[in-house]
Amino acid sequence: MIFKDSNFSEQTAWISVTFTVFIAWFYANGMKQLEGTFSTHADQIVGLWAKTMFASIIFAVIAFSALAIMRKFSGDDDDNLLIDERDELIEARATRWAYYNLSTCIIILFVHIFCQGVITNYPFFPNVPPIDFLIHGVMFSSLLVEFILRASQIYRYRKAA
Amino acid sequence: MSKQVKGVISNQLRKKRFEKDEMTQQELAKALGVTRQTIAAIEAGKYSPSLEVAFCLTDIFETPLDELFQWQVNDSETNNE
Repeated sequence: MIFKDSNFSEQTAWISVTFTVFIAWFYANGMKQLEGTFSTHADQIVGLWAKTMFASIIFAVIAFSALAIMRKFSGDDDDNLLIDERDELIEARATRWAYYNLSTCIIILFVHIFCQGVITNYPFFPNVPPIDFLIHGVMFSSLLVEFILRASQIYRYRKAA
Repeated sequence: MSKQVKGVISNQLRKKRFEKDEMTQQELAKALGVTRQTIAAIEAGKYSPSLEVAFCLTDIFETPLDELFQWQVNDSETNNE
């Protein structure tokens, strides 16, 4: 079982990993149904953000309730919310990876927008306006950063501190 | 010229726990204010605790630090400029 021999921090990291995958799928699905661009159909994009926010809250409530029930039944409830020095060290190292990833994503986003503006027949996403690319790019970058943060945390909990 | 010495830290935590009325990892974790997984990681040599935790361990087991933790230097020492 995934949660076997894991502490509260690792369990919440598993939930966050699942959360980012679910929200990425949800948002990508919503993007497919969008008509037009941000400049012509801004209301649809704002609606997608609202739906994504609502889905996030529902997911978090269900996931953390399920975790609380599982911990109650497994008898792990005693050390609930205890975060010790090892957890902090692991989170600090994972955060470093996440920041590298965030910087890379931001650079890629801006390089793409710059290239789209100056290079004729630029091959990547030719039909997506820069503002739309930036909006969706920031969304997916944030999810990727969170995914890498939590996945590297889990990796360190499983392998070494 | 600085010398970087590489080595491993081993410990006698498991032995000391059993000598202290077969203390469980959970009991030790509670006494230290850390999680049971951290105690397991220290015993397995996967995590080196902070000095604060190390000194708390010496208090709990009433034993000197160098009896609890040992530093073994590797033969392959590296010199860095």
